[in-house]
Amino acid sequence: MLRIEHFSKTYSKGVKAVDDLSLHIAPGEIFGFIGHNGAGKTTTLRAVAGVMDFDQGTIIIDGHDIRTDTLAAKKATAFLPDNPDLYDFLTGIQFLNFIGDIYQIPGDARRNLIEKYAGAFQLTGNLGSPIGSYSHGMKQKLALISALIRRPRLLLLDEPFVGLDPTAAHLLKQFWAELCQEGGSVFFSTHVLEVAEKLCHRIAIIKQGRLIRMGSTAELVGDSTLEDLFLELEGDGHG
Amino acid sequence: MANFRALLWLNFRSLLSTMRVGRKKRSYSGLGALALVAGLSVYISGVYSSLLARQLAPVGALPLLLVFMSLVAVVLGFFFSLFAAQGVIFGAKDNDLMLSLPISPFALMLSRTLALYLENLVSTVFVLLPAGVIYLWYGGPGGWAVLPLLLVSALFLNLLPTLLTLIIGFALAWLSSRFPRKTLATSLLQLLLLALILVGSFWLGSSINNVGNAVPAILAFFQGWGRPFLMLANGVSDGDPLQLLGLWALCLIPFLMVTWLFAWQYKAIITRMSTHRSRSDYKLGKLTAAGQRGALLRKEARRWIGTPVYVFNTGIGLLLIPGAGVAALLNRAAIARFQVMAGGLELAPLILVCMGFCLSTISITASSISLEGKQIWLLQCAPVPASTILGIKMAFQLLVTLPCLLVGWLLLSLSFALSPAEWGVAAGRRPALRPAVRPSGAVAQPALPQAGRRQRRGGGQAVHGRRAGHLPAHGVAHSLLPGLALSLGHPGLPGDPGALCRRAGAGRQRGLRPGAAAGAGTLPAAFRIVTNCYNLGVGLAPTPKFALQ
Repeated sequence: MLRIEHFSKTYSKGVKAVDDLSLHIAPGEIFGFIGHNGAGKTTTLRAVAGVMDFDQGTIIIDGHDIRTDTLAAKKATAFLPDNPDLYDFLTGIQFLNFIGDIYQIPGDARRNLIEKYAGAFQLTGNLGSPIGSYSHGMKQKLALISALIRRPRLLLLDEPFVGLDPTAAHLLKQFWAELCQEGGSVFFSTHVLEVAEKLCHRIAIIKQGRLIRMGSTAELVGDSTLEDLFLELEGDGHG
Repeated sequence: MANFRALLWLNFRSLLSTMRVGRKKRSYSGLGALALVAGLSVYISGVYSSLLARQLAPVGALPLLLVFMSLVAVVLGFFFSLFAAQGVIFGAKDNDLMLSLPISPFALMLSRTLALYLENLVSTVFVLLPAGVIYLWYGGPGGWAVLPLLLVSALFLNLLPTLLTLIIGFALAWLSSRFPRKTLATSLLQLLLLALILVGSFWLGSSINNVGNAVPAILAFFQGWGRPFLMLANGVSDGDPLQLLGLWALCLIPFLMVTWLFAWQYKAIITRMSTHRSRSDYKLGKLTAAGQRGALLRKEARRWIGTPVYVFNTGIGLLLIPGAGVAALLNRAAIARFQVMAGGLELAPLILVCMGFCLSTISITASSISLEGKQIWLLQCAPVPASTILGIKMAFQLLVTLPCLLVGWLLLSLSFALSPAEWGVAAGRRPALRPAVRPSGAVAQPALPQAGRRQRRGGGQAVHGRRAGHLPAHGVAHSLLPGLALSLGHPGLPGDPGALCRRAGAGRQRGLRPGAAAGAGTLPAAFRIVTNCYNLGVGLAPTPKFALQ
C-alpha cells in the first residue's frame, strides 16, 4: 500500500529532518510511527501526504508515485495533521460537502457515510453550526469524519488521539479495523505507546531522522513493553 | 505598578502586531504601520487644514480651523481603533492566560484600554500638530504657545475616540457573540460605517469652499454636542485656562467613568462573550454532489462573505465603481457644466483611469491565497491541481468584479453620454500610459524584496502562486502613476481631474485596516502606493506554500 524508499528531507541551513528512510506498509496493516519530538515523524507523514516536497527518495502510494502521479496518489489517501485547522467560516456540513465534492463522493453515498460517522461520533446535531464555534475535540472529530468519508486506501494520521474523548478514541480504533478489513492501511504517529502497542501490527521507531528499529509489534516488544524498548533505544545512542 | 507597565507594554505590542505585515519582524512592521497612520494623519490634516485656513482666514474665523481639525482627529482615531477595541479589549485570544495570572481584571482592562489610547494618540497628535502649524502660518491668534497647548489638549482629546471605540467595540463584540449571522452583520455594519465616512467626506469636500460664508451656522452647530471642540479652539487660541480645564474635564471624567464601569465588570463581560453558542439540532437531509470547481468556488464565496475584514479590504473598489456611476447619474447636470468650463474635457480616458485604479484595489485573489494560512494543508493534500485552485480563486474575483464593473460602466456611459466609440478611443490610448507603468513597477518591486526572495525559494512549484500574486501587482502598476497624476491634479491633464475624480467617487482607497480605510477620506497618492504595496505583500507572502503537488 505504501512504499517509501530512501526518503530524505533537509530543511534550510542543512538541518536533516529525515535521513534515508525506507519502509513498506502492506494492505490491511496498521503501522505505528514512534519517536521523540523532532525525530522526523511529521515530516515523513507530510511528505507521504503530498503536502511537502522532499529531496531524495521515492514514495509510492497504492501504486502511484506521489511526485509523478500526484493526484491519483492523493486520491487514495486521507491525511490529518496533528492540529487540523479547518475552515472556520464553513458549517460542519458545508465542510463535509466540500470534502465530498473535492473527492467526488456521490450524493447518496456521501449522505450514508456522513450519517454513519457523524452519528457514531455524536456530531450530527452540530453539523449546522459554524466550525468556528466548535470545541477542539469537535473539530478533531469533524476532521476525522472528513477523512473517513473519503474511504481512503491509506489513512495518514499525525497524533490522532490528541483531544479525543475515550469514546471517540475507541470508535476510531474500530473504524481503523474496518478500514483494514477492506484492504486499507493506517499509518499514524503517536506518543501514546500503550495505544501503539495494542493497535499496531507493525511499528517503526525513528530517532534524529533515522530509522532505528522496525518490525512486528510482537517481535519488537517481546517479553518487555514498548515503553521499555523505546526508552532503552532512546538512551543507548542509536542513530 | 511594574506589573501594570508590563501589561501595558504587552498589550501595546499586541495592538501593533495586529497591524503587522507578514509573519516576521512583527514589531518592525507594526511600527511601520504606526508610521503610516502618522503619515496619513499628517497628510489629511495638512490638506484639509490648508483648504479650511484659506477660507477662514479672510473672514477672521481661523480658530474654527482648530474646531474642525480636532473633530477630524476624534473621527480618525475612532475609525483607526474601532476594530482593535473589538478584538483586543473584548475578543482577545489570550484572555484565558491573562485571567489565570495574578492580575486583577480591572488592571487588565485598564492596560488594554490605555494601549488603545496610545495607538489613538498617534493619529490625534499628528492631526492636531500640522493643523496648529497651518493655523499659525495663516496668522491665527495665540502665538507659539498654541502648539504646546495643542499637544497637552491632544492628550485629553484623545480620550474621546478611545471612549467611543470602547463603547462601540463592546457593542460590536456583544453582537458578534450573540447572533448566528454575526459575520454578515459585522460586514454590513462595516460597509455602513464606510458609506457614512464616504458621504461625510463627499459633503466636506463639496462644502469646504463655502465654509467662510457659513461661520455663524457652523458655530451654532458646534454649540451643542460639539462643545468640547469649541472649548479646545477657544482655550488654545485665547490661552483661556478655564476653557482648557473645562475641555480636559469633559474628556477625562466620562472616560474614567466608562472605563471603570467596564473594568469593574470585565471578567463577567469577556466570560459571557467567549461562551460559544453552537446549535445541536441539525438534521441530516438529502445531499447533492457537485464538481471540484463548484466546491472550490463556493468555498471562496463563503470565505469572502464570512470574513468581514476580507470583504471590507477588497470590496471598497467594488462599491466605488457602481457608486461612482450612481453619483455621476445624479450629478449629471453639474458634471456637464464642469465639462463645459473645462473646455470640452475628454472624460472617457479619465474615467477609464479611475476605474482602473478602483480595480487595482480589488485584490481578492491575492488576499485569498494569504488567507489560506493554517488551512493550506487541506488544499495541499487534495487531489486537485494547483492550477485549478488558483484558477478558481481568480475566477471568483472576476465573478464578483465583472457585474460591478458592467453596472458602473453602463451608468457612467449613460451619465456622461459616452458612446462605445469614445470608450474605444480611450482604451486605444492605453499604450500612452505605458511609460508611466514601468517606473511604477520599479517603485513596487524594491518595496517587496522579501516576497521576491520567498518566491524564489518556492521554486518551480510556486509558479502559479507567483502568477496569482502578480495580478494585483499588474493592477497597481497599470493604475498607480495615472492615479497619482489624477489625485494630484497633474498639470499635464486638462482641467481639474482631481476634483472630477473626487466628484465621481473614484478617489477612495482602502486603508491599512478597516478603521483606517473608513477614516481615510480623500487619501493621498503616496498612501495609495504604500497600502497597495502592503496588500501586495500580504498577498505574496505565502505563495511558496502553494507547492500543492
